[in-house]
Amino acid sequence: MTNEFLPPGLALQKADERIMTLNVGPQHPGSGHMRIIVQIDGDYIVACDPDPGYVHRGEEKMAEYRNYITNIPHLERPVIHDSCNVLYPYVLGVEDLLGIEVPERAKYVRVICSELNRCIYTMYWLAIYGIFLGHSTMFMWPAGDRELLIDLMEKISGARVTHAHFVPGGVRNDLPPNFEEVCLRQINYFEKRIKEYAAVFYDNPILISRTQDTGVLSREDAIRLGVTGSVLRASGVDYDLRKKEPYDVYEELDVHSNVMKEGDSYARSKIPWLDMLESCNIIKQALEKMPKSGSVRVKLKPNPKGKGFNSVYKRVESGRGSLGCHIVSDGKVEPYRLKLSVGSFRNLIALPYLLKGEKLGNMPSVYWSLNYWPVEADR
Amino acid sequence: MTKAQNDSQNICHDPNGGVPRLLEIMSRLRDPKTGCPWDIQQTYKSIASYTIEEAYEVADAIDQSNWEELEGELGDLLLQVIYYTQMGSEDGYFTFESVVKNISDKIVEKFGDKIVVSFVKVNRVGINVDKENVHDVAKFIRDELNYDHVESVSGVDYPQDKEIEVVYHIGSYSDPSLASQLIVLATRAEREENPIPGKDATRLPTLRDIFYSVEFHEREVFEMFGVYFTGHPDNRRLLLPEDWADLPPLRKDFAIKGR
Repeated sequence: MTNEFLPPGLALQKADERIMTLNVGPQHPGSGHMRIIVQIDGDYIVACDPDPGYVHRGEEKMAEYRNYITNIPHLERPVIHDSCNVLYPYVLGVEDLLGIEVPERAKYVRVICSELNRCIYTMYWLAIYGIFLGHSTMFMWPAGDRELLIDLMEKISGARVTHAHFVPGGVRNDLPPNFEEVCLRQINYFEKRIKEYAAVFYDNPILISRTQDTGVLSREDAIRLGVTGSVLRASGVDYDLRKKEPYDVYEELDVHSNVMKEGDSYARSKIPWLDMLESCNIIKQALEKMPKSGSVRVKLKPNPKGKGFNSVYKRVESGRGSLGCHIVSDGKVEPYRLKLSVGSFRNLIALPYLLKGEKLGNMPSVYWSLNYWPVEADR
Repeated sequence: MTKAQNDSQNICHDPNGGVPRLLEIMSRLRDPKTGCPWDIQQTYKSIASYTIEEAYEVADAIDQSNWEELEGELGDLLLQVIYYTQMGSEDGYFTFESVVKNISDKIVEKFGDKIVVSFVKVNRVGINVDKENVHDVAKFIRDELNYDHVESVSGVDYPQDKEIEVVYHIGSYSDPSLASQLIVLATRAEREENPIPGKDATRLPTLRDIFYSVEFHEREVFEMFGVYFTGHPDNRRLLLPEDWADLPPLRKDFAIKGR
């Protein structure tokens, strides 16, 4: 059978005696829930073809069959550790379509939840990065320390992960009594604790020798490939949506975006850690500036614009970079079309580019430094 | 003190006030009654020489790779822009917002009635264009307007119009003044009722040769809507299984069981 009659993806390839094709994945862990088809010549990768889709759940199709409120719990499933941030652009988009103004206190609660979730996600990502490199201390420490913040989110929303806390019009519940005090105490301890990671991980000569100067992404290529988040900022592009297109109350807070120029795996793995320190700083500011009382949710009113097509595209800075939500509404109670443009999917394009010419042994460190979450990319 | 006065007071003392703060301070300096005497006297011509001087200082700082000084010099140059904007809005020539709105005007000026500006919202400009012209418009957006990457490509199925719309959200990393701006470029292809996998008749030209970043996005639209991108080097399935033989799943006529 020649290639002409085969559906795309099943095309046959001529075998080469020298080049070996190796399927990495899709078992978990090692590659996450995805397959990376690498072609190796000896120890060097000559070509790489990422093959995501093993956990594709059709979130976008499901959203067309559910109304705007019942969409909330399933839309945060792509990244359960970062559920507030995944939901954030959707909620902002629905508010924009309905023309709702959210109470001031709710905006601060959202910012606090979003930063807590960013840390929870990044700690999990860091734990996996540790185990990818065979550094088991770096698996145990973040996996244990993130419990501190998970406890805080549990106090707020009642659930350890998948909080479903953001709703169009504000947040589901107000903060529990005495929360500010507990949160400040936990955050101070957390900050002190993650600073200790430098000694065991980021200043560790073994880590540095394995990640420095591997998988270098230049500034020009980062822009051309359209990568986002920590991958982009590790290549020297200062682009953080919390500063560039501030949503909710980020413009009233002092946000510092971390930028490094090297563009290698080391820089890409360090930026999320610096971001966590920045998140602690933001949470402290937000706790101080937040109105001490007031409403946290406004009642939704029927769509004032009535029937007819309308669309909106909102984006936020998630743990993995810019996360956009494109909603097309036809005035009914379900979205006509909902598209999630996620950081993981956008960063995946850099993988074949970075792995070409790299040693096979460097594949895990380069792959996971892309801040890639397979479930999010598949949706 | 009225609320408006109170707001203007707040923004002037806010160190993170950004461009609104600068505009507010400049409009106060130029206030004919209470402003600064020197600032009120200035005209376009009297400021122009300062602009040249500041531009030279910026170029000088870049030559010497003195990044700390460059920061300050760029601030001085920005103040010149604010100055002209204030004088322009006093004379009714233009305002700062209209400088931003220029993006859509530039595209209209170049392509005329080949395109339709569907909306101009805060930070978003919507452009609708035929599939014959989408390639040229995208090239113009990249080369002349400094946009450099595509954030999102979404397909939208309209069976009632017998069309499938593909929407590109185009942004810019390299031009800081466009950081919050997105161009929403939409184009439509004829919708084929019975798509045959691998032989799709619903076709659009690819933008991959203009924006490299659309590569995986277009592959996703291809499998989910059956839109074949002519000229795309790698029109293969991405998320779906290779042997998927049903309709493209995000089309409206692909129904979920039990719903």
